[in-house]
Amino acid sequence: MCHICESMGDGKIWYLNPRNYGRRLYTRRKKGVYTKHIAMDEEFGFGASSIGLIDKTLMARAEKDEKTYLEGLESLNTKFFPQLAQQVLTLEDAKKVVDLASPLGLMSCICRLGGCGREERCEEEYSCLGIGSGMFKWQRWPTRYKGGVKFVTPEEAKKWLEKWNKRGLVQMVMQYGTGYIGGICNCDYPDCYSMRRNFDYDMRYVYKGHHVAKVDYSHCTGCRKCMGRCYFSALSFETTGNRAQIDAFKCAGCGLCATVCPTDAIEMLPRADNPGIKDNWLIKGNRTMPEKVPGIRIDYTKCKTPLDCKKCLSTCPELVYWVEPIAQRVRKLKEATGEDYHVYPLYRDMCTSCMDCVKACPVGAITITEEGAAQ
Amino acid sequence: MKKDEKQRVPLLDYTDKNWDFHLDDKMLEALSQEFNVGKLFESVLNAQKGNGDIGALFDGYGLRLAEETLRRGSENKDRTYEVILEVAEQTGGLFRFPYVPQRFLEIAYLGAFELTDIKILEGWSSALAYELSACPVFDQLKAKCSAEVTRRMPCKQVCLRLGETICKELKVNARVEMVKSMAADGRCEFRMTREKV
Repeated sequence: MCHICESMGDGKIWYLNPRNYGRRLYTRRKKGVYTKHIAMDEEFGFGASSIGLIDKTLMARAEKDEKTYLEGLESLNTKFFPQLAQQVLTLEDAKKVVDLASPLGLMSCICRLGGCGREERCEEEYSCLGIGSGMFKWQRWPTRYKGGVKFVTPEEAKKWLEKWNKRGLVQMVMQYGTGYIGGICNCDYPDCYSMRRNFDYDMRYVYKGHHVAKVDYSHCTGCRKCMGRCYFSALSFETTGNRAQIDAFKCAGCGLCATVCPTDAIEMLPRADNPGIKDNWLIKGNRTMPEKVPGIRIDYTKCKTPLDCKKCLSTCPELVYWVEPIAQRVRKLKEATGEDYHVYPLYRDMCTSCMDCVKACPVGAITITEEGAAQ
Repeated sequence: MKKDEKQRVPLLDYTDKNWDFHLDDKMLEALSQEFNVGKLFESVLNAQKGNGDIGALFDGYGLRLAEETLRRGSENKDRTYEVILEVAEQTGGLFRFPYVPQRFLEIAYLGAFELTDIKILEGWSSALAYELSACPVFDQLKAKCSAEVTRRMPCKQVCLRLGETICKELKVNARVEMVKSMAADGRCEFRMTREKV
């Protein structure tokens, strides 16, 4: 059992416990003070509290301030992320989740929008499955839910899960510190901010799942169909033996390799049954400090509606930019407009100074210098 | 126009919408007035003096609260409720439970008991469970009735009748039970379990 099961499982795997699928619909407003008495944590989950520290830690690495970066990591990895609980799960377990959860809403992925400017605006493009009573209020955030939410039955949701799995997306269940399960994410690197920050910055958002893949060599034909499906560097190909090889210490238990195997040679076994890895839940990322970081400045008098434009987001090969709502406006629960979003060079230390974003920006708002500060 | 753009739904236009996702404050206030817990206990104390059946008083209070909640809650539709009904329709009635009964329960507790919110412990297709860790009815029972009456908790009949009536009127086939009690466990937990059809 992982630490999330210990706190939320009631003896079961936490996401299979029906007690994690309920939330109030309403609160009784105190006259005239509704927006003030709701804390960020209550409305947006515990995760909201960590946003400032995450940004500070990411910026510290870009500024090559190793001490602040490591202190931030220590705090995030020990105090915040254990409570945020985003965990990898197999397709089979994801299907069990949709039998417990309701309502189920197909929606656009916020990471792909915020980090790549990829706007999913119809059912065929959606890659996120929202869960829980909060979904009934999606119309409060029209800018977030461009294209709307398509509510589906559990049987329909299972078909979507299969489709996303076939596409090669890692399924993760998330509760973001709210105490109830809020969705099944369908993730890949570097689009998913959890995976990206875990792999590139060692921010341990993502917890390995309750299963681990094992190859049955008597069935593996060496067809290599599983190759390229593993984001966790657990899968390799043994050329001499002509067979797939899985490093159980690195396997996160997503099962993407198993679902594509034409001979069912890869089996997903319970992590708990393997004493050597039964407590191995964390994914180690990269802590290496960058040598040279370009300075990126954005002139906000020119860049006013980045979400409508998205040129820098979709052009950058390293996905350096991130767009998000201006916190204060979201906190007041106002319906956001295009001007309520700002774009930031959040992963500036990944910038190779290729200048593609500078050339792509239609209003000339981006300046890149060889080395220097960001805005 | 590119092929994929044809399939895209247009951006939603909210400019003419005046949606309120919250419960109507006036409705909650009216329920607070009408189902004043202080007044209930005046009747309870009078019944005790005359050796009356206080269980029946709590039961009647729960029944009337459920009926009034259903009436007012149906008349005052907020946007959240409209979406719940739309989703139920889109999914062949699948998600009507637990959310429709849950909404009326929340109206009753937020209105009559003046709670800020109730803690939903479980809400899925088979069960709805919720917890009350603060209850004005139990507080009054403890303050105004004997230790023996407090231990028996006749007030549980308010919540049981409330839940049963809401399920009955909404045609939800569910068993309502009290799983934990304020007197024994420090909090009440009620659970609606859907019966197999």
